[in-house]
Amino acid sequence: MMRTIRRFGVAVVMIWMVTTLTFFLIRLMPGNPIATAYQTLLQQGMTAQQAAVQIHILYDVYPNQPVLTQYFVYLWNLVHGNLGTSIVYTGRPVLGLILAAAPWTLLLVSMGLLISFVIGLLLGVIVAIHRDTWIDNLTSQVASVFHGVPNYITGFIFLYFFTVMWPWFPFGNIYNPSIAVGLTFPFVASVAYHAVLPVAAYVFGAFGGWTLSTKSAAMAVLGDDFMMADKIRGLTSAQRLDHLVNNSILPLFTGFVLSLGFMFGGSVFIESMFSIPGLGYLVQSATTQRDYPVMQATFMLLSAAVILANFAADTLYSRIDPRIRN
Amino acid sequence: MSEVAVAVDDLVVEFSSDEGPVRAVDRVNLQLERGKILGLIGESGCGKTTVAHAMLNAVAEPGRIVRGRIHYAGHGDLLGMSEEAQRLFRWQHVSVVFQASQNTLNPLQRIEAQIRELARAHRISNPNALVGRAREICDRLRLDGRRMLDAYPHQLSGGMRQRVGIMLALLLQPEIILFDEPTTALDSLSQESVLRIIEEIHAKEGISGVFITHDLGIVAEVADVVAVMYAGRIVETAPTGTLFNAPRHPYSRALLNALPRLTGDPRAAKGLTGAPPKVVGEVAGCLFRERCRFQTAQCKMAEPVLTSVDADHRVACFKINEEDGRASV
Amino acid sequence: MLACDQVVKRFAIRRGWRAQLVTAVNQVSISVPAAQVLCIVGESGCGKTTLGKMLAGVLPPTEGSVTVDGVEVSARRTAERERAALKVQLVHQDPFSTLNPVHTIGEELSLPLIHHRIVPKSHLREECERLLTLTGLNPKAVLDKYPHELSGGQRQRAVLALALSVRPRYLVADEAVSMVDVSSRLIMLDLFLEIASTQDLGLVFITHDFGVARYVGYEGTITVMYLGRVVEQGPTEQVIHHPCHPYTQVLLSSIPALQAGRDFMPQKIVPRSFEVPSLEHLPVGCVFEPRCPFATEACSQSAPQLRATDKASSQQAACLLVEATSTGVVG
Ligand SMILES: Nc1ncnc2c1ncn2[C@@H]1O[C@H](COP(=O)(O)OP(=O)(O)OP(=O)(O)O)[C@@H](O)[C@H]1O
Ligand SMILES: Nc1ncnc2c1ncn2[C@@H]1O[C@H](COP(=O)(O)OP(=O)(O)OP(=O)(O)O)[C@@H](O)[C@H]1O
Ligand SMILES: [Mg+2]
Ligand SMILES: [Mg+2]
Repeated sequence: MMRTIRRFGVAVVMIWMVTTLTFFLIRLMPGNPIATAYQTLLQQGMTAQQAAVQIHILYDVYPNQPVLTQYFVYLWNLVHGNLGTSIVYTGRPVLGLILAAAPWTLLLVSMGLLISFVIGLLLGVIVAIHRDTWIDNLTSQVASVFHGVPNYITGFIFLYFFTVMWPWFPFGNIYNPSIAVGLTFPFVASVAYHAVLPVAAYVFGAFGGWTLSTKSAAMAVLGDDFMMADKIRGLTSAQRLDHLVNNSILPLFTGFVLSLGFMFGGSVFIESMFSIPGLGYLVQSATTQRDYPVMQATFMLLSAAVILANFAADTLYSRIDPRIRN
Repeated sequence: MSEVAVAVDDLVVEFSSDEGPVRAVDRVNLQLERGKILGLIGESGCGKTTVAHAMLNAVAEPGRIVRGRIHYAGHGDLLGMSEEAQRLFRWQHVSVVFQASQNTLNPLQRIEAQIRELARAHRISNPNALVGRAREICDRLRLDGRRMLDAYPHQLSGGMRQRVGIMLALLLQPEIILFDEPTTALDSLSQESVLRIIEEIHAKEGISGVFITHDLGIVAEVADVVAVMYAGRIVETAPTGTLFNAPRHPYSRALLNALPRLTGDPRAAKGLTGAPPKVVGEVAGCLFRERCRFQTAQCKMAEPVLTSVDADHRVACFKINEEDGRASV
Repeated sequence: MLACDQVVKRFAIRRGWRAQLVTAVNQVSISVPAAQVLCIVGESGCGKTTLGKMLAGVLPPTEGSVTVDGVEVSARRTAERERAALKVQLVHQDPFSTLNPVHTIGEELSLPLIHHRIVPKSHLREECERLLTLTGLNPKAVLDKYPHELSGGQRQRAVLALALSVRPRYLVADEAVSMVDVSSRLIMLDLFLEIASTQDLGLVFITHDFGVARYVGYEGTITVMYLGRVVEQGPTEQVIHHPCHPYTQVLLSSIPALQAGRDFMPQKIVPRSFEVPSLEHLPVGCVFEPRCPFATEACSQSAPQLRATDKASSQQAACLLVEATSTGVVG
């Protein structure tokens, strides 16, 4: 318990450090839009005083404030849940932008991750059981090929085949804008329909890796004495498979939880390719347009997710493996 | 002559390897009489465990039974049964106390869950009764039954895990138990309680057993007949008393000479140097000759076969007739 | 000197729905001078492995301290303590669990050498070869092999080489030979002794076999444990031939005659019960009292402390009846 609390404390401190780092790094980046806007206002004949007020109204920032003061104001706002307002979407609160984008990414990546994990687990176990047969050779080859291909390439191929050559699936956006948003059947069906290709692109990029790591985990478990003993004890094939799968999942578990943490960052290409208004999309557009507050908040979110996933992986692992529990 | 519980005929097991098939068990014949205990001794790697697993048609990959028959009284040849019949036959009729039974339990389940799983696999109608029985056997093995059943394997000491393995082997009341080094991790007192249990079930329930070990002191206590294995072959079989008082094969004698004892010069015991040859393909000559003090030209020419020297005493060595093999122990 | 002072280890175990603490090792103090041998023997579950792990620094004690050459290693780790802890290495009973199946022996050996910067990178291969030669292996034959390609004896040697790689001053060998068959067991034991003497290593040898203990620890000391406590310790040969504690006597006399040797202990001393009390309900008095064939009323009242059995010798026993049993009961 004490350990868990300490680890959590460490996680919080790390998030704070990352926040601080991004805050200052972003201000060192060239092409500062606030400075540009401020200069423009001055050139338009405003006094420095007026320009500063104007900038504050537009962007919620005092351009002449020392960076350190800006930093403390930022932290103060942060702990009050205020992430500032967007520069590009003038005046819109960053938190609102993130909350609008997050569900799409969450949906896309968690579906993709789950499906690719399950497929990888099944294939990996089957391959391990039939190792050195044609099943193994074929599946392992296919898995390594897909593992090596980045998901924007699979995404591109999917787009070309299934929206251009055979237009079976819609292109762009994540639901049909003519349907009212809500928990209604038409809306959910529309989302599901739009999500097929991007999720499939994600799955094809990820299942190869899971297959290969499951294979090596399962082969190690198959060599364990208890699997041999299970057979001699007359356990059924289903029971033995159960032991095999449970023991093979253990070494993959940490990786799985970590992938959950990386998921916000992992979908940038897919989201921009399929124009899905998710977090990846938001990060990308904020970065190209130097939308500080949005960049700041999304970077923080991405790293916080990774750090928290790390913490979760550590804490949860000791829950599922009795050997670590004590 | 009493009834034979299981007869192994002409068993050959090979493991495939890069150099070709390795013969781990070569033309082994064994007969286990009902209610008797057969000791199987020999140094590491000579094929004892492989024989035991072959008796259940469960040789681990990449091994396979090349030929042979494993005939169980009342059941016929195991190798001729269907897969499902073999599965149910295992453990209900023949169980194993595994070598390194330290690691033969699923690390993610408590012992009780593993027992319930066993009950389900063997379609036992009353799993609670089985758990109760497990607790009882634990008590007989000087284990705290409740604590054992509640524990995960890693929470038990090496010896505890080994005794839990013994408990599992006794659980379904099989007719034959193959004990593969059941006492290696145990101190003399725990050993004694295990041997007592074996003797008890052996006497009361008429269970027959194969007792595999390299611990000769224990074989002497429990076995009725002993077979000595070397490099996949049986080189000597005899009633226990005969084997320990008058071993004839030079290998058997070397084994007896390698025990560290509690009296006399502590450094008098001698280990056996060298290693047994790996058997790939055809071999010529006696496989022990490289390590044998009595080696002659003849040993290189042909392989000795098991020959009777007494009523129940058979030895595979050319020297048995020329030299008095009655070494003292 | 590798020593522990009053170490205690408690584990939480499940009792139905509740958790309960059991004391696996209870106030044990032992010490091994440099280049000496100490054997720990005792019944299964008495806490030998747990004690060995604490000595080797892989399991922190609940109470008490472990010191290596005067540095307390059981306290929070500092660089100095880390270095001291490295001086003690554990050799496991099961070579399979120590060697990673996906590494060759060479890779396996290189890891600690690199991690602890034992030798410069350029000397890595030479050092691996030196270690393997030391443990009686042919480096050329095994360096690029995977563990499963080695025979049992070779694997055991590789594990020993791995333990030696960080140049320890002490080895804790936990049942290092119990899986090795008799014909090669003595050869393994000889190897341990040879390495200990050429490298000046202190050796803690955990075993359940008195024969093995006598073979390796002939000139050293032996500690007999029971239910987490030390019940007797002293020079090996003396304890084996003149055991003072009734428990030691019971243990020794239960050894099969063929193993013990002719005319060892003609008199059989049988415990009153084969039942080992549960760690959760230990007797209040002497822990051996419920099984002791010589127990008296006084034994169930208070727990005896370790004390010398006579003035001249260094043998100690934790028994109220020491005088009564050391003479007379066993010839
Ligand atoms: N998984 C395997 N792969 C390749 N060869 C194997 C395998 N298992 C066993 N063998 C071969 O079979 C031989 C016999 O092994 P087995 O385990 O039956 O010996 P054992 O007499 O039980 O030895 P121990 O006393 O060490 O348990 C070994 O020498 C080895 O060559
Ligand atoms: N991780 C753990 N959790 C709970 N109990 C444990 C744990 N490890 C050991 N124990 C308990 O501590 C006691 C001592 O165990 P230990 O492994 O030290 O015995 P040992 O003397 O080495 O026995 P053996 O000769 O059988 O190996 C046992 O009762 C065991 O169940
Ligand atoms: Mg074996
Ligand atoms: Mg132990």
